[in-house]
Amino acid sequence: MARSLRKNGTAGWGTLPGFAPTMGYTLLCLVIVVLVPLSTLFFEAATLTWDDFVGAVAAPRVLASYRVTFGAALLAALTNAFSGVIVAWTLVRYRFPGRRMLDALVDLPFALPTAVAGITLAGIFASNGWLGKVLEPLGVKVAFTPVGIWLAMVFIGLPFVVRTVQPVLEEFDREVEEAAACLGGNRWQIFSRVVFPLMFPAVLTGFTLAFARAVGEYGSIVFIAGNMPMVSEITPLLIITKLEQYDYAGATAVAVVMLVISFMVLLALNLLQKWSRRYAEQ
Amino acid sequence: MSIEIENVSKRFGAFAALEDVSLSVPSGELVALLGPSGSGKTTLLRIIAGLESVDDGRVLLNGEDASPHDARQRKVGFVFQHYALFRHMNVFDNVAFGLSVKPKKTRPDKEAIRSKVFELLKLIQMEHLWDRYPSQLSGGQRQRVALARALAVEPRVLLLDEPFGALDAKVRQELRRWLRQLHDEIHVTSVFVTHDQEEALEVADRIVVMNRGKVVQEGTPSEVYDHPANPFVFDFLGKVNLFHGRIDNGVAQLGGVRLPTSVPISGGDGPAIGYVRTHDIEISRHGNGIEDITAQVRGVLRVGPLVRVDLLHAGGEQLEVDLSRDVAEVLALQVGEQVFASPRNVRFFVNDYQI
Amino acid sequence: MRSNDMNRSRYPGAFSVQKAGALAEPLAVRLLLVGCTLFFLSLFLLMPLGALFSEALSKGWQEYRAALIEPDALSAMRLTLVTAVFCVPFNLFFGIVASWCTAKFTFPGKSLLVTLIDLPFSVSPVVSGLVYVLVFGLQGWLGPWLQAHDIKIIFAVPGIVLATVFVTFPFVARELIPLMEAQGREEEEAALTLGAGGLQTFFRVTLPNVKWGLLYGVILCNARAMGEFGAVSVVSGHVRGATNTVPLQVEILYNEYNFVAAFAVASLLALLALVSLALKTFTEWKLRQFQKGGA
Repeated sequence: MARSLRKNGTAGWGTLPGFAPTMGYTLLCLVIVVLVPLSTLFFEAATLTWDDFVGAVAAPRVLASYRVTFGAALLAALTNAFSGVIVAWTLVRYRFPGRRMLDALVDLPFALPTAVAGITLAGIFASNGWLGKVLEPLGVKVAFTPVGIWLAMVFIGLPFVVRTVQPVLEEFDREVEEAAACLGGNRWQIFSRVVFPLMFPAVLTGFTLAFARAVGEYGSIVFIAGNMPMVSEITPLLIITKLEQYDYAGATAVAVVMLVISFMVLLALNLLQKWSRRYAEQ
Repeated sequence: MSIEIENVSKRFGAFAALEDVSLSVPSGELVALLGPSGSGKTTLLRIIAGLESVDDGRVLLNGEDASPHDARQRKVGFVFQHYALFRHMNVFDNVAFGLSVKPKKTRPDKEAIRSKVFELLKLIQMEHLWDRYPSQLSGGQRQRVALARALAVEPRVLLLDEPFGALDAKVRQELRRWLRQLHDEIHVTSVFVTHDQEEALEVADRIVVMNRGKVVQEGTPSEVYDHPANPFVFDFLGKVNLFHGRIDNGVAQLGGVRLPTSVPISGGDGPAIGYVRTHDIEISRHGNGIEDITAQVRGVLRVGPLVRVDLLHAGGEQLEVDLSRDVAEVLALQVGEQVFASPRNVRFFVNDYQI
Repeated sequence: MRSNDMNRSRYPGAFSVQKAGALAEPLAVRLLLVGCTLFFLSLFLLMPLGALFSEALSKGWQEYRAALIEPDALSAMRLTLVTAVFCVPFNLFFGIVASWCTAKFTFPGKSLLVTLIDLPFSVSPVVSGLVYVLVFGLQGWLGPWLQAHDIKIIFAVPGIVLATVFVTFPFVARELIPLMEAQGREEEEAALTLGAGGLQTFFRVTLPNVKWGLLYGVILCNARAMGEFGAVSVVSGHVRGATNTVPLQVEILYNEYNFVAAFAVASLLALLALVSLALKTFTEWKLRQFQKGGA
């Protein structure tokens, strides 16, 4: 036994049992649950002529929905990046009452069903809601406008940057900051030239995750968006609308665009992960 | 620049890291803080650097109270145990960091920074590696970059925390010698922390031995090694054998055998513990007088250039003796045979007080 | 003991009047940052929770209770539970199997496999629902055949379960894979040299090492399975009392301007979310303790 282990010990194969059956089951599930359904999207889209496809994905109403969705998602992810760094920094570096509770609550947007988040936010910012009551007399309309879309996206993207930056700050070698201090750097120089560059990959990863989530988000947005075509209609809603009108081809075409964008974001994330490890020990 | 530590105390919660420590490091010296882990040596170093506050006492740098100044203003170079290099900067940028964060008024221009950095890289023999990142360097190279980075700002004091602790034995040897030479060249007041007595003995001008938050002895390497102030220092610096004997009429006895002592015995009679280094025991087959202890050979082991002999003496205690290989070959000891052990330079301590 | 105390000195109290230096921000900056965090998190986390429960209880306990025991609400809860009962064990088993073969072995294409497992995470829920309509819907690939055999999947319970399985597919696996990778293979190899069989090794060595991570993944998977809205909304058909899950029921009540009932049912989901968060925090704490103990 020991000898056979030694013989195979360095290779990945054969040292532990069960590779073939577990791998087989994994691939089977992956194919049935994920790959086959997703591929139907492409097969279905392939039945369209090129002109039909372009007509479906580049109609004015669809283009407007991209603008709203991606524009709001970008702004929301930027908001998340900025606030996420502050929240993560505060939670890791300072001690104040209520810190643990807030830390645990940061994941609420993950755990709270999106429909619940949607009706709650809509309720708060409606003209008779807690904040709507205050904001509307000031001329700030949030509910049923693109601002509401941004707000809902900020809510659902909130945990991403916090949760990617937090571990980096927690494991940050305090000696590196001390070294910079001994070399004469002031607090701002240490943050901007030593700490921030080292946490930047995590910020970017969190930003990308928040962006991807915001682009695909449906439940928390539809209640607060107002869903006016050309103004506050997001792409996922448009897909559902087309589906309800039995425009399967149109829905599929737009969905393909969304899926391709998801793939690109995923690719970007993987590259990002490699890039962020470039200074790590080899 | 000199360093004075005056009655410094520091606690972490219930743990007293330093208790009333006073120390002075004259300008230009290379001093080792030597002690086991938890003895407070690193805390002391961090206090000098301003990375840790004191609960009591004060630190004087060049005769001036340093407490109003934080780490940034003290102008001390600190080399961390794990180097704390900036891993997103290459070697050049690491070394240049201290110069480039200076206030605009005192900051050298780009060209001056460049020439200063390369001057330092030359000193550490790493000019050709200026564009490498820390992850691409060996441990010894990282250590040298950390040192160059600390030296770039021309610190008034250089502090090194376990500078060779994380290195291979061979690299450690080389770097030790190199640090000694470097100090002889640039003569900046330096303090380094180590738990390795050999390192302290080899590199330092002076050694400060610490234990449990207190300074237990300070002096030159030979003073500390040859005249340990107490059993702790004796035990910590080099290998040592213990004898449980007695003092009778001012003479040390072990099972009726009189033992030679390195310091004249004074004080009362009673049980006492004798300390003798492993290389201060001679073994012979024929006794050479009244100062011999009969013992049985329990084991003979070659350890590099030395031969270690385990003995069990008549008093029932183990003795470890280091012989040079020549001597061992002449003796050709067999396990089980009876020999005579003659200790030289035995030091007796009663209740931690030296007699 | 020492490291604890060191930690205390590492992180200042936000309001302690500690001398600012190169290692700590000035008091004003600290207060500003803490203030920003408190404001932001109150606005986005505490206020919604408060608004939700106060809205749900705005007409008193009676109304609240009535909204929850209404037959449609009860049937929605039943369906949500059924969905979770199918979905969580399936993904749990998949997660364990997939993490065994990806974390304990090396093979070409490994990172591609992990990426593919993660894929549903980055697909819009609406698109996830759509693909199942394309496969099983009336116009879909299997539509005609399913209709001929009188099997309903879309606009019926199986469709809801399938869409939920897709959406929650990566949850357990993505928690377990990094954890099992970090554990390495040595302990399993040791067990094998001591004569344990494959399954024995798994149940007595591997599983105890990852149990908290596993529980963590299950909690997240369950929370999402019970709360999924977008994908389920596409495949359900919104038939009251038959194919409505709790989140869909919330939507219907809300769109009927029955706000109290909508928020009452929603508060149930919010409670579920809070319980999940509490459990998650607990398992995280356990996981951390376990890792500390193991190190």
